[in-house]
Amino acid sequence: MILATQGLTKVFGGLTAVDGVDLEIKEQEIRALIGPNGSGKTTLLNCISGVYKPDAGSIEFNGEQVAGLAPHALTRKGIGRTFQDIRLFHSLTVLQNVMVALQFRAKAMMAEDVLALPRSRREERHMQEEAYAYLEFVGFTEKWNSPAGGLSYGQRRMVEIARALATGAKLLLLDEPTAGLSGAAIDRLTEGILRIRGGGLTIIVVEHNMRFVLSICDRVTVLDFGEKIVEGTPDECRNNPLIIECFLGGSFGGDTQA
Amino acid sequence: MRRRVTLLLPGLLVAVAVLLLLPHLMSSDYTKQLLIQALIYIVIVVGYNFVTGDVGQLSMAQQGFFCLGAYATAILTTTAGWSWWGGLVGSILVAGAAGIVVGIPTLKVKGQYIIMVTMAFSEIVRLVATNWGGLTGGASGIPKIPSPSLFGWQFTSKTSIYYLFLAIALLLIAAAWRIRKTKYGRAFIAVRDSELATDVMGLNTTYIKVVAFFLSAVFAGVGGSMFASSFNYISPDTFTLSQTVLILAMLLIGGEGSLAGAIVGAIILTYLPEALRFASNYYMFVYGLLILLITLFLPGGVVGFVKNVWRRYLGPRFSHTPPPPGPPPHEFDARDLLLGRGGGRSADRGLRGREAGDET
Repeated sequence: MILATQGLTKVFGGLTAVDGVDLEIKEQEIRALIGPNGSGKTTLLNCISGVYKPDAGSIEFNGEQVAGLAPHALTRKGIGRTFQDIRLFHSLTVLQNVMVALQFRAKAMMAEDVLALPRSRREERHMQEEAYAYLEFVGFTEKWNSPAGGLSYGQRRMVEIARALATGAKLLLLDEPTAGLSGAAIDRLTEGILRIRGGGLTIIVVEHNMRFVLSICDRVTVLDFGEKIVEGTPDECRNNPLIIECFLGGSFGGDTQA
Repeated sequence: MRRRVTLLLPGLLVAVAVLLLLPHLMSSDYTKQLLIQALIYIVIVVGYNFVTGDVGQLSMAQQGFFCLGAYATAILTTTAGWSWWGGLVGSILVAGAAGIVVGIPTLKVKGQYIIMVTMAFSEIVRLVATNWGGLTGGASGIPKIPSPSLFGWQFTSKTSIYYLFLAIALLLIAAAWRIRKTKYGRAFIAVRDSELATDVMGLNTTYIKVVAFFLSAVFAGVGGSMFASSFNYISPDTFTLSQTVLILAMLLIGGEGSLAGAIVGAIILTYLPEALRFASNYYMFVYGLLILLITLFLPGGVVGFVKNVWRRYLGPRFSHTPPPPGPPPHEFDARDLLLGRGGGRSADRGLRGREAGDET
């Protein structure tokens, strides 16, 4: 078990956005979080990655209680994420974007950077090489030296994933990774996610694209009004009348996108 | 690449020659004093660029740090009788410590509140300088501040002070250039572009912002020390709100977020009042109008404008665009990283050694 939440709750004013959610996610699992808009999927992701402090409940990551830690502390423990509205550093280059994800491990002090001492130069070179390697892994290197602000939507997604991987994440949280992508780009993304899982990572993905969810995920968790209502394998979900009724208007499965 | 190098070397030699000859081209002490003033502002604005240009936090505290630096050197070299060296180090310590103490609570607030808090800080520093008569000489200030001296060398003439300050400014510009080129510089810009994403990259954004604030304070502290020891007299009148606005205007007009912009802006606004002498009574009007026009029509500042023009019109015609540098050398495959075969560094990450196709 890499991640376990118990009774996780987040309240905004009078609205309970996440209501007592229990999750148990095994290592190397690909888990989908689905549900209608406003059902608390992204809020749940934000609680796990530390963007929001949960109001109640516990989060155990790798056998350690991590609820309430700041995002940077959770990243250092091995939780990486991407954002629904991609948040690249648009005035840095593609390579520099990934380098930012590597630098919390760098040991050289600022004085060493200023004087260009050997340790600083070595670390800078390592960060460059490693960042480039992560870009190779996601298959996007041709614009490594361009400003990230000028990339297409699909390219930005890949850079954001490379950046999340570069933090050394063991658990990767993807918030609607297929949003705005073409069919071919989604196929590449699917292949990429499977390779990442093959590398030993666990993945939680919030998605609306059902074909993507059903083709890639080991288990699916369905949220509604902040509560977990169903959980199971894609096959179990495909035939669950509750889900069909609630979200999918009876045409669940096949090519339909919810 | 070779073309660029052949152009670079003579260009550098000319620049050095001009910088060295400059004070000899100036006839009066007044014009030499302006050169010194330009160097002081360059140091202050280059530091200011870290927090306001790179990290994008609109700080009004730079003038407060400038004031602290000036008073630290003034008091230490007169009342306490320290050497100029000691005064300079004292200014750095006082301004740097103030940067950290003010920065930690300030940078947790957002947006307009940062402007208010930092402006209040600058005003408080000035009011303390005005009212703590015993230490600061009150409203009449501190006279007879000794000129810089170094290893028995007395920098009394304006020309010698110019050379000393030129060395200090160049050193600090080089340091700023290195910082902006390495990981802290990237982190500063990352915070400006997306604070949340920077946090999710494992970086404590409050710490990054305090570092930028600290750097800007240290540069302003050095500027203050230079100011006190070259003008030999300081009073609270120098450190008013208009000084804060002047420093901000220098950065905006030069081009924020750019080292060259900070330098150019400091030079332009040091000399603009001189260039506008002809306007006599209308001087403030013309001055304000010029600043208004520049901020309205040159959003990237003067340096941003020049860069744009060069890129769009002149660049393609006169210079070959340098070939894109090849990809950085890489000795390993990314897959090795993810599979934990990449040696010590990736082993640290606890990635387990598994085959790529092996899915559970």
